[in-house]
Amino acid sequence: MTLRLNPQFAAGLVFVLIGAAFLLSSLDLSYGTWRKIGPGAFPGLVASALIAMGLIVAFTAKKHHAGEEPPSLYSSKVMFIIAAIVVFGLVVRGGGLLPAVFCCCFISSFASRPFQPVKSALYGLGLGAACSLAFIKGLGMPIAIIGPWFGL
Amino acid sequence: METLNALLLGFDQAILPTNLFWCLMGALLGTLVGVLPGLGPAATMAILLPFTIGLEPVTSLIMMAGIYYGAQYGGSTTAILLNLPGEASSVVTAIDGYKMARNGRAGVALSTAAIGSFFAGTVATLLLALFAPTLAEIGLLFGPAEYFSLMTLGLVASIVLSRGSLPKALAMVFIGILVGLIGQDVQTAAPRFTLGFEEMSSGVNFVVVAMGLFGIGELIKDLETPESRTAINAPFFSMIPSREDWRRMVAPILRGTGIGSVLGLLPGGGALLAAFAAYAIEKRVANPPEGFGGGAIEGVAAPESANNAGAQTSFVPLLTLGLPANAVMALMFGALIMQGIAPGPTLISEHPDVFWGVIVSMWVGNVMLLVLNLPLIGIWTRLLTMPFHYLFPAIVVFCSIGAFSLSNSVFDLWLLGAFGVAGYIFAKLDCDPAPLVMGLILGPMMEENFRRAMFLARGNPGIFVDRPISAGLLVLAVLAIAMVALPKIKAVREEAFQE
Repeated sequence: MTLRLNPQFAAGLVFVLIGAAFLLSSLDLSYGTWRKIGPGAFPGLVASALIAMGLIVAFTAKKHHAGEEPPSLYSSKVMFIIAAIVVFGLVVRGGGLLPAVFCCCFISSFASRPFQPVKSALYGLGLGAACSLAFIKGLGMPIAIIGPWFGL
Repeated sequence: METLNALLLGFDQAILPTNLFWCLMGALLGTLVGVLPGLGPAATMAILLPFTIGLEPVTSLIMMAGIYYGAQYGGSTTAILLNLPGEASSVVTAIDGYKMARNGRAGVALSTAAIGSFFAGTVATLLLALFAPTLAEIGLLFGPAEYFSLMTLGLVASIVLSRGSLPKALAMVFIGILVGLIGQDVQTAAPRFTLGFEEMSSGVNFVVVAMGLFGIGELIKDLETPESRTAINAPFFSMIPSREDWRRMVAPILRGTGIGSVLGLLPGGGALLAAFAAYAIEKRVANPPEGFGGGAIEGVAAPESANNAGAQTSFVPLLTLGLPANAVMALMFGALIMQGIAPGPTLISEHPDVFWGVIVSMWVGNVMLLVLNLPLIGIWTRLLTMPFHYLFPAIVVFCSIGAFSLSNSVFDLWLLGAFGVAGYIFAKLDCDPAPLVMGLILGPMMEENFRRAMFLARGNPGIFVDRPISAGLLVLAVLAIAMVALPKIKAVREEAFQE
């Protein structure tokens, strides 16, 4: 329960870090002259302003209120949702849309309770079929329903 | 007469069967996603935008406009039936609308919202048609310096009129600008901040950013706060307002329309501000005022008219000056760019079919909402009671398919995941992502105009204050910031958004 966990302070810190990252990489680019401004100048300026704002946000942060829970950034739900998107990306080219939607749907349903595997699987299949029909047959998306992985 | 001819040209476009069809689809899909808890118009549009890209420019914009109105209408529906405003601009509708629903007058409240919205939409469309061409002519006088100042004002105003802490919102704008600058520099072709990824040299697609921040971010937030969603059980009785209801709703609808139309024009204005202002004014003129908060029909009619009027007229700065007034308009801007149309003063003269087609189809969209959605309310409410664990995998799937279909690139999916995480972190840190999206859209244009102005002025930064229009716009921006920083006004502003 230190000051560090105060959301306001954390936000300021995040801003400073993002600003610093952009400022550092803008140094690799030419700043140009006043008349012919280079590609690095404007980002450098904005990044500096971002750092300044980050400092203001961090240092005007109210001291930690007693009893206020610090935000916990860890959440298994985020993991599942992000994993679902990543798996969709890994599967869609090789496996096709139907398996990709199935995996995406199945994995993301881990994020909610109660988790019912059979129902989720069936739902995933149904959703996959519906999406294949709508996007590939209907809107002409250039992707296979069942991809090369399955030797079809 | 000229306006009339132009409107007829628009009608020719709007009533083409394909355009009508996609307008309808947009309105339906928009309502469908808009009634889902936690997904406001910006999220709805971000999720559905990729599916409009394959269409003709006019058609896709018409569909986007349909999605917008649908989403807004969906937001009002949930506000009235569930006391769960789907978006900030229907927060005030929930106050009296939900009470009406509890008193068994849900049907009347929903019809009032629809009638008010329709009337306001009609008036605002006419205003748009009348004033937009004039404003575009003024826009033609603008040089790079004026544009830079105008965008600065637009960004500042959108922050000032939004809720939350000012330094935080500014920081979010700056992040947005920086993310917008990722990719090849237009003038020197130097790659910037691409981290060595070939895929990033053409920049980060703004749809992916918006989808990640609004769609995925809000979704995860929703998952963590499971709410019991029980729709109103009270029978609907009747959708038709009584004679007394009609009598009471006329004046608030007129006032709401007026307030909304004016406030929508302001940079940074739009539906949200309009709804709050209209509700506050109704409360003041109400006679007797006690009815407010207890299910007064005026409390539904006025803000609903105002937010629709505001939503409509906030298209004016976008279509005439190329300045998106809020996050939703920023998404519209992105949709235009993806269609190869640069919004700005030349839009009316270069693409009159697009301009007038979109304007007229906004009105057509309103008609569709009126005749289609009222009978469909039963379906929407059933959707609301659907368990969330069936809905959200579908949303994740749609976002994935949408992001992938933008350019058939798997890389966009990695970015979607990354911005989803970012959206979640920002939500946890209590930072509104809307200013970021504004910065993302306006940032690259600001840089370009800044560099061009400096080149024209031979390196003298005084150009921004020497030119009168530019100086005036900058003074307004500074005043706006100063106003919010003043403690007294700060208190009023915080109070206004508390309600």
